[in-house]
Amino acid sequence: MSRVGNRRSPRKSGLGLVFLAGAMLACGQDGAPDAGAEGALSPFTDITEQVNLSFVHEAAVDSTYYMPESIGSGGGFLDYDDDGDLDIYLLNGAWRSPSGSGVSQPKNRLFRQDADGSFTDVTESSGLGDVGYGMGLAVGDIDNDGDVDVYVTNAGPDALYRNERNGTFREITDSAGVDNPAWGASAAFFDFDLDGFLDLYVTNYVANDPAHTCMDEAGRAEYCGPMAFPGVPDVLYRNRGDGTFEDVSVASGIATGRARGLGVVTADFDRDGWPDVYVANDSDPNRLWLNQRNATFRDAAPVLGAGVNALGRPEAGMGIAIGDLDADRDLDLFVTHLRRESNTLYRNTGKYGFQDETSRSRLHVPSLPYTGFGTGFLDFDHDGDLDITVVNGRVNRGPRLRETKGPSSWWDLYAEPNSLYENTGDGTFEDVGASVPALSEHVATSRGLAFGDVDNDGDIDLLVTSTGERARLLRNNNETGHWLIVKAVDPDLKRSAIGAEITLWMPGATRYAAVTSTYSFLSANDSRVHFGLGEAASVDSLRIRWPDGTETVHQVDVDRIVTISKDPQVTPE
Amino acid sequence: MSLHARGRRSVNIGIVVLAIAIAYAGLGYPGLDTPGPDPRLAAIVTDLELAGTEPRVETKLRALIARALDAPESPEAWGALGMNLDVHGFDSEAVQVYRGTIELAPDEFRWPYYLAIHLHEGGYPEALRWFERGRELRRDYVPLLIRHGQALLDIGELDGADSTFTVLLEADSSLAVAYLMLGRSFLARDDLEGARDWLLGGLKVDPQDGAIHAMLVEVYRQLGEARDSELSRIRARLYSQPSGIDDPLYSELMLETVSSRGFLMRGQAYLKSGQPGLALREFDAALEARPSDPFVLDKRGQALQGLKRFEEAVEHHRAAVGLLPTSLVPRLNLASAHLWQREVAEAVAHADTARQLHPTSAQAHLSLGMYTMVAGDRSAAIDIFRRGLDDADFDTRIATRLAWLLATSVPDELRNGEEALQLAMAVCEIDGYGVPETLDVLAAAYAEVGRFGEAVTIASEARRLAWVDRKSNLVRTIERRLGLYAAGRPHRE
Repeated sequence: MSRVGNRRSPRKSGLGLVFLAGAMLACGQDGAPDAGAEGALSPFTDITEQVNLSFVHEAAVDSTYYMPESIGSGGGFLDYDDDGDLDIYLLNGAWRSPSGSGVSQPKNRLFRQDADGSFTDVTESSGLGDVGYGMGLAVGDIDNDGDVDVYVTNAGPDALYRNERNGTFREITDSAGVDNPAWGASAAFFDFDLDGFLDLYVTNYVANDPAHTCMDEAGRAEYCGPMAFPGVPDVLYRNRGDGTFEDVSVASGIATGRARGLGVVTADFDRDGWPDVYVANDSDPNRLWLNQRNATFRDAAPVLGAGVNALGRPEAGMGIAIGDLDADRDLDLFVTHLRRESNTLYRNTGKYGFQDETSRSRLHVPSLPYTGFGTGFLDFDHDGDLDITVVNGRVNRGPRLRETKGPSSWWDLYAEPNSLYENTGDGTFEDVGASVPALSEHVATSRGLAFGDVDNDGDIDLLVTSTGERARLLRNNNETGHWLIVKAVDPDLKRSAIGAEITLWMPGATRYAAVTSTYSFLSANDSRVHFGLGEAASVDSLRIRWPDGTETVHQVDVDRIVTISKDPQVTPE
Repeated sequence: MSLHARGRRSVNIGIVVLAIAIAYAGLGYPGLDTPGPDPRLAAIVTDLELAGTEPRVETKLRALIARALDAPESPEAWGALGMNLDVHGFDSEAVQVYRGTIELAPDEFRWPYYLAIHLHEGGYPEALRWFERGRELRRDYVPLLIRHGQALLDIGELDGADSTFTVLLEADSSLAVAYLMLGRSFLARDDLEGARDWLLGGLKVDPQDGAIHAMLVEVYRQLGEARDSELSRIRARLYSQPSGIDDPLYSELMLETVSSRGFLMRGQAYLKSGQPGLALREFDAALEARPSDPFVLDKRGQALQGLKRFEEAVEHHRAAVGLLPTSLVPRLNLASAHLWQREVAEAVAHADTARQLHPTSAQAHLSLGMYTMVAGDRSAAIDIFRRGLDDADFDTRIATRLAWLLATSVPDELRNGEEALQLAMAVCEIDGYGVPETLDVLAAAYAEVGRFGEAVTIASEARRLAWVDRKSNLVRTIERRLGLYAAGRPHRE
């Protein structure tokens, strides 16, 4: 079955009604279109309030500088009820000593998108109100029953929730054998052994000891940095296909070393048909685990130049963007880092490995003052090339960059504006974040950044999570350029073809992308693949290389959301 | 949302009023014809939030604030305040006070210099302006030129950076950091051969500059020279420290800090430079503020080891291990202190725990192997070193010791001349056949496999290098072995 949405879909119309009402009632407040200095429509508008996305992250600050407060929490998009629109799941902090305090424990929260584009909190009825100190979210159909299941990493035991297909979830962590007791960060579902069942990679951060406190230059208590504690090996769980997982971390080789893992992406970096893993480590060299096709992995980051920057230095790796930035049909990487380091762009040069092109791309200087976390490549303006978004926020106090009315917030001195690097088309980027009020005016301690077409209008919207603050949904206002969104589905597996590759041929250009929902930082993303096409009003053909190695070729129209099943037919909705 | 009501312990508000009144009476603030700090500065520093700072920090900052407010036209008073705001992490305030100080003393070099460093470390391009101002004031200050060149590189001003570092090298061709930066500049231009040449030039000046080796990893990799890239990677691990810059003005700045963290950092610097007595003094000051900080306890233990006060050192390291039971460094330091106390069994036990906790740590394998050797069990030491080479990244220290054991051990079953030779050659290749100790090991390996002619040649070179390095004990030892090799006999121990 294939579905195709029009450029102006019913969903968009519904949201438009909510949007217009909000604009009329509260012009200039959240929800009103942002106009730039010259009156042009700003690329993004904060629609959090108008769509009733009422989530405020509780960092559960108890003044002891509990290190997880400085790292989490994320969240993301998922279509848990399989109704064709994206719902939102947001992770929360947790009080460490709630008993006797009279304070109820914060929960993660699930928001269902309704037909009019607004969101309803369905946490209680769904059973997804996990109360661990939430870090990261991974979404995938672990049992190939046609719905998405949810894995939550915590600063402490993680949790796996199986979708019961009736709007509820059931926790199956113990029976599934995925109780990772360490401090888990980003996680990813992917099928590393190509047996048709999604396996699970979990990055683990440090062996934090809350009894050990750290200090700043003036001797004030401050969050510890990564080097205060040893790293913890990551975990790889193989899906046995019977609802249980086997911990193959040691056998696969990924448990060697104690790096401080934070970000993870999975994709076929060496184009051998087998999914690989790239891990961003905090102050340790990053790892590029190449799949050896025998259930083991080998770290090729040192020899392929993806472990350290051009100066040979490991950096404080946090979030990861993945995509074919230079349209040469392989996957490039962008890793976010600490203030005073720069974010780093690793361009995939094919057989010569990766090359640090941060400075050449003019991405070095603009990122130096900020600590980047969530990130991703997206063609926000449909001009045919990939831009980069980064959400920022410090892990240690710094100069105050925001003015607050009323009482000061714990996070005032950690808050930073977010960044949008526009691809200028000549291999360089320009930071235009300051001209996008929805990104720059809300200065916060942001961590998660999820990407998805929440209103099914063909462009990519953003979900930003910030520590101790409201999660924000930023609607993409783009009205220009052609586009295409592809949902690749394997009917035998009843799920998105995670790991598939899509190549798009059009006059004078080629686009390439991987099907994945895991990138950025602590976030789950829309697994549909988005292409901005610029002025190309048609494409010559679209080829999908499915995870099992088969290939199908399709003819598709542009400005559509297309669902393509492994059966090579494309049927309009 | 979590709100945190921060307590404010402001300096007497009367001082603010007085300061503002003085300012507007024309005693040196802008808008009143005479240059000087903006009157807002007085409010900023008076309102400085000092809650939670350590008592020494608070006392010093309050005194400096009072001094500056008492002498609003004094660049020394405001500058000292700026320095202390800077080193104690009050970033915004430091920048503003430095700017105010520059207005008061526009021809004083150190204030734009400090401001430039602060802005550069924060990633702000405005640093360039102040570096340039610094160059106008003092063209010959080498650390300024180096930092300015680095800032130019950061923003992609490659030509400006090149000319800065070229000028530096013309004045002093022994500046390894200038070669490093020129290598970085050429790498940014995609001129890989040029980058390699500059970096290799730097290694002629300082063969153990870890930053140069680290950059060569990527340069060689992109040149397709995989073996050289791998050798550089090993060397970068071996020589982790870049060449330092002697910057007296910056040292003055760093000496201002009175926080426990500052004392800790200064103490570490003294330890590195082989001054444990001075280090101990700094760690004592740090412990006053943080008596149960495991890092300070551990470092104080190291200083005590340096002073040969091993019993006290054991106590400190044991306390640190108690607080951080899974951490590698305190555990290994405890093992080391036990060894100096001649408590070999305890040393081995703690090193073994460290290795179990950190199985990929070369240092843990190395320490365990060495202590096992001291315990007299060469066979076990050989096993430990072999496992270290398997489980951790290739480490020349482990390979050298293993090669020595395999080449020189008395029991026949422990020796393996071919393996020893292979290991010794690998190590010598990494250090460029320029280290007498490893050449000595290579000579022993040659002798073990019966290649006495090569053993004599290598041992002679080792003796020459040891003599050049003024290592008289090593010279004598090698000479004894040379006699054996010349007589066709291997060394045994």
